[in-house]
Amino acid sequence: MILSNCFKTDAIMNIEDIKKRLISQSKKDDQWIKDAEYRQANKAWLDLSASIAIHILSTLRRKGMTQKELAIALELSPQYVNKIVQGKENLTLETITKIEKVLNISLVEVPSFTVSQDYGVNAWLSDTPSYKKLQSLKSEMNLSQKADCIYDYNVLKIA
Amino acid sequence: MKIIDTFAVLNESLFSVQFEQEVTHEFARLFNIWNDPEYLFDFFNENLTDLQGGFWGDINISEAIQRTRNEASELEAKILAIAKTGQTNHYENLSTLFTPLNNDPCRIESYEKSKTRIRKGSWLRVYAIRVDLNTYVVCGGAIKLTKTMNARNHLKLELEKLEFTKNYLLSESPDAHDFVELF
Repeated sequence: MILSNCFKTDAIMNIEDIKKRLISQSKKDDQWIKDAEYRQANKAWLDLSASIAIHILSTLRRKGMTQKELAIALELSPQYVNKIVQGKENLTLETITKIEKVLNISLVEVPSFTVSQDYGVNAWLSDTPSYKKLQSLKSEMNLSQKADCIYDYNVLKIA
Repeated sequence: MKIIDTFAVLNESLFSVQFEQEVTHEFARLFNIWNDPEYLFDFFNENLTDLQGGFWGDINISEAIQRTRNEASELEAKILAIAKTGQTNHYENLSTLFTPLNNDPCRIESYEKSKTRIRKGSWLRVYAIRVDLNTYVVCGGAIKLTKTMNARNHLKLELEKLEFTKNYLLSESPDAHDFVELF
């Protein structure tokens, strides 16, 4: 319980003195900028990692399980498990599936999708002006012509 | 309560104190805990009544953690931007980020207790003492789930830290002083 404040009140410093003292006596901290830049640059996967951590933490709470028990079940160190629940670990698929198995939960799901016939081309060329032109030509060709056209384009691109 | 060090976070404008029981200064500590899902999970579980009590609506813990992390990221980005442009652009400085704690825009006192929030409707607060125009000393922060600061212990502690830091700055020999805890 805090009962008294022992500050001197007879020697009040003025603003300039305080600023001088702050500037001369404070330690320079450059680390926060590095940490902040790291968090900003890696926000996407750190957010995913945090979501996984929250899911793990709430499952542990629901099951009445400790992080240490989880570490033993996963055959990982408690320090590593702690890093996971702090959302700092860039998890591998292997580790994720191990956790899913031990906790009997689903952490990551790949949405279902359909592979189209020319998916490979669409995936890497779809934004280029040349490909858009090609697409308009394709609409007037038969299938065999389309294949030749795509082949020619790929050769041209590689060359 | 005792301040063991001060740190310059932004050159000659943003400073931060380190309290005795902490491993780092307040500014760094806040962004560490606001990004830590484990800390946030425990915090929101401990304050579940406030979280779901209506002041912010009815928010679940998972949403609250994501919201906190997003707000922290937004605030950090703003301070980073000031760190990079504040030296040359006089309109982009800390004074645009901090406002008086008392919500009275017409009265700015010396050594004003100040707060920053990224926008209206955000619940993260960084608390600081305003020493001068564009000179602030960070002494704490909070996830403010209630309207006032007097109703919750974790917020009352922040008020004490503000007062303590103000006195620390005004004291001629700050190293010689601290609160006395009798029991």
